[in-house]
This record gives sequence, structure tokens and C-alpha cells, in this order.
Amino acid sequence: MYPDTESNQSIGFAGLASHEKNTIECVQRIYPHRLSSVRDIAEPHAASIIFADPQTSEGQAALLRSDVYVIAIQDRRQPMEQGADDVLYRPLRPRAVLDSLNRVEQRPSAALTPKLVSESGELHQILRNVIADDSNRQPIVLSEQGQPWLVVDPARDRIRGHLEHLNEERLLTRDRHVFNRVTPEEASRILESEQEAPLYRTMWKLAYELGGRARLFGNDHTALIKFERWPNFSETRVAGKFLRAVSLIRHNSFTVSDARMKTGLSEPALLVLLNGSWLTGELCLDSETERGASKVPSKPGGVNSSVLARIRSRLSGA
Amino acid sequence: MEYKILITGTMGAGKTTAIQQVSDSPAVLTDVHNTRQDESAKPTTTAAFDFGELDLGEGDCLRIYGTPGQERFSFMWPILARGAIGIIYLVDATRESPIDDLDSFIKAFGESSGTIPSVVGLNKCNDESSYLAPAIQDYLDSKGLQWPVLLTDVRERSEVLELFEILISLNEALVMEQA
Ligand SMILES: Nc1nc2c(ncn2[C@@H]2O[C@H](COP(=O)(O)OP(=O)(O)OP(=O)(O)O)[C@@H](O)[C@H]2O)c(=O)[nH]1
Ligand SMILES: [Mg+2]
Repeated sequence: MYPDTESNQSIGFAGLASHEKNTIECVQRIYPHRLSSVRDIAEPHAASIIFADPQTSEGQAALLRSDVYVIAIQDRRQPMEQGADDVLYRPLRPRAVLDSLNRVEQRPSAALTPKLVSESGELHQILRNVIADDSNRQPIVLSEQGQPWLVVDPARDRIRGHLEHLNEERLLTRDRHVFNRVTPEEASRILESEQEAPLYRTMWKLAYELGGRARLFGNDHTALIKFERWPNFSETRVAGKFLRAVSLIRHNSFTVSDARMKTGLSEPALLVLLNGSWLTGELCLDSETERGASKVPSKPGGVNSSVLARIRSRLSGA
Repeated sequence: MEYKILITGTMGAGKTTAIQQVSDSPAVLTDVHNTRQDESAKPTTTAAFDFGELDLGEGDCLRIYGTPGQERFSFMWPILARGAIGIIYLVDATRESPIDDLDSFIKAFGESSGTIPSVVGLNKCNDESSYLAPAIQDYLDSKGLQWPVLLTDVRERSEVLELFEILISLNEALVMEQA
């Protein structure tokens, strides 16, 4: 059943672990501006949306109710919970929770008319657009000669399918790949039994495999590049040199060869960083970066490159 | 000339541990018996400032200050932060609501929080709390603060150095921008 979208809806929990409740509460607290209607936390009996663990008796009870919208939280190994209005997989990610809450309203129309938007493009471009597009977290299914071979689900940070086919060669060929946007339920059904991996980690793995052999972000040597966001370092093991390079390329836009000079990275290492960040949407061509509302620090008085070099050498030697 | 870097975070976040990893002189330890066992069960806590110093030669030095964990001193922080070349926010992933903690520390620094190069170190993190890294990043985005978030264990010297390296690089970028 679909709660009245005009009214103030409340969220309840049934059988969740405390860290999972924390994740959901923190989404509700830090994203009020991105939730399409205001939502409070309430006791399960007073809630209109319930996050439930079907493995618990409270969760089962919630799933039997027809007066609430139930979002099941489950492990990927478990079969998809049929009685639920939506399903989220562990580990819970804030982004996925946010999307599921915003799906509460879209759900009725989406369920009646599953819209399959078919488009095509180069593989690396498709991947990047899907990952970087914050306004549309719907999964896509890539097909070849009518056969689906890959599901990319940015909301759940998952990639599924014949992952061994997702390689350098395929990434770089100029072939156009056809893809469809599908509902999350549809995505779970397609290629259900195939290999699965975290999306961001897979993109970084590809970047490492590519090494210095390509520039995914375009072949224009005069193009200016810049980091739009900090890469998610928890997904990658980065060396200190990467940290330094990102700080530099976040504040100033560079051509690749300037970036090499300023960062002191070898070309292959720099390209791993740039390709990986480009695939995951953190690196942009300067022409596309938004000069947004973010606060930019100002240079502290008296700081110059000599002082910074001395601090660095004292720290590493001390 | 004197340069300074601040390390802040809740009681037990690891400030003293981090400072000890990088300073020349054994940090001026101001730890005393912890009478606030309700906030943190650790035996000692830092009563005034932790303080570390690095001689940079040519008459320059880098001072590293840890804010005291007990929040009654927080009115001093904006003054302490004036002119700082960086702030390290240590977040203790084992606390009840780490994002609220970070929020209150950012607020305590007031205006200066947006103008000083900063980095967040997420400390004491395990699989259960790993959701916090992206959640903190999203929280910072919502505040318009483009700071990096690193998973750290400040008991490891190399990981403390990574936090400092980010601050140095952020400063380098600002120097470069001005040139
Ligand atoms: N398990 C674990 N323990 C840590 C980690 N980092 C620091 N600790 C421990 O946490 C304890 C508290 O560290 P301190 O450095 O005293 O914390 P503090 O921020 O100075 O605390 P106050 O001075 O009371 O504000 C120490 O016993 C550290 O060894 C970590 O990543 N994992
Ligand atoms: Mg201390």
C-alpha cells in the first residue's frame, strides 16, 4: 500500500540491528533536503514506512501488515522477500536508504508501467554516466545481440553479470553498447545467478588493469581536468602520492601533462588515478565542473612552498 | 615563524596518540586521571592542550595542538584556529552518533572551519561501522565542505602521516593557485 505523500510520514524499524537503525537515522537526519517528504522516526505501530528484517519475528509481523509500506533488509544470499514493497541488501548504504525512501512515492506508477528506456553508447562512457548521475539511480542492463550480460546498479553499489567479459578490450573498443534502464526488481531478476562485485571497487580494478594504456576521459591533450569530489578512499588502497595529487588537481585544473609535472607521478600511475576517478565520476573535464556552493579554504598567511617542503621532510624523517 | 596544525575530536578519539606519532619532543603530556568515566571509560584524559613541536629550521617551527576532549574549553578553539594551516578532525567510529560528534566540532570552530584546509580521519572503524565513511562524505557535501575522509588507525604512524600529507598538499594547492 502507498502512504499519502502529502502528509508527514514516519519511519519505523522491525528487527533491525542497532548499526542498521543508525544508518537509517543518519540518512533521515543528514538528508532532509533530499528526502521528497519529511519523515520522522516512530514506534513501528505508528509508522507508515517500516524497515524490516524478514529473518526476525518482528520483521515477519511487519511484512504481514497491509497498512504500511515495508522495506525488507536482507542478505544477498536470501531469496528476494516477496511480501515486501522494496528490498535493500546488506551492508546498508546511506545512498541506498535514501533512494528507497524516495522510491516510496514513485513506486505505484513505476510498478504499473515499467519503463524501459533504451539507449546506446561506448561502454566506459555509459558506466561513468550511470555512476555519476546523482539524479537517476535506476539500474541499467547492458545487452549484446539481445542477450543481457551486465547489470549496473548504482543505488546499491553493485555490478552483476559476466564480469570476466568486462575487460580492457571491451572498455576501449569504440563499439556502441545497448542498455536499458529498469526497475530494481527487474534488475535483480536478470542475471540473478551470475557473479557479483561492488561497483566502485570493480571500476578501480579496471583502472589498475588499464594502467597507462588509455585515457578514458578523452584524447584531447589540451583538455583541462579537475577533481569534482574526493575519491572514496575507503574503496581503494591509495599511496600517499595519490593523496597529494588529488589535493592539487582539486583546486586547480590541469592538462594531463601539467598534472604530471606538478604531482611528480609517473604517467601510468597518474592515469590509473585519473581513469579510476573518471569512471567513478569524481574527475571531470573542467568544462563540465560546476562552480558550486562549496566552501574553498583560503591560503594561510606566511605559507610558501619552502615551508611546506620542510614540514614534509621533517615529518617523514622524524 | 610559527605554523600550527590542530587535531580535534571527542574524548578518546585518538588525538594524543596521533600527536605522539609525529612530534620531536615527547608531547607535553597533560593527561590526568579521567573523572568523566561516563563519557569514556579510559583511565586518562587530556586536561589542557596536547602539544607537539617540530623544528623546521630557518627559525620556523610547526606546532601541533590537540584540543582537550572535555568540551568546556571549546570557546577557545576559534582563537586557537586563527592562522592554522590545517585541522584534522578525528571521528571515533565506536561512539553512539559519530556524525553528530563531527557536526558539533565543526560548529565549535565556527567560521574558521570553512576557511582552513581540513581532513577527517575515521578512527576505530570496523566492518559494522564502515558505512560511516560514505555517510560522513555525504554529510560534508551537504555542508558544502569538500574535505577528504580517510579510514585511519592513529596507532599507525604511517596513517597519521597520511593525514598530515593531505593538509600539506591542500596548502600546496592554495600556494599554487595564488602563483
Ligand atoms: N581499537 C583502536 N583503538 C585506537 C585507535 N586509535 C586510537 N586508539 C586507542 O584509543 C585510546 C584513546 O586515545 P587517546 O589518544 O588517548 O585519545 P584522546 O583523543 O587524546 O582523548 P582525550 O585526551 O581524552 O580527549 C588509546 O588507548 C588508543 O590506543 C584505533 O584505530 N583502533
Ligand atoms: Mg588526549
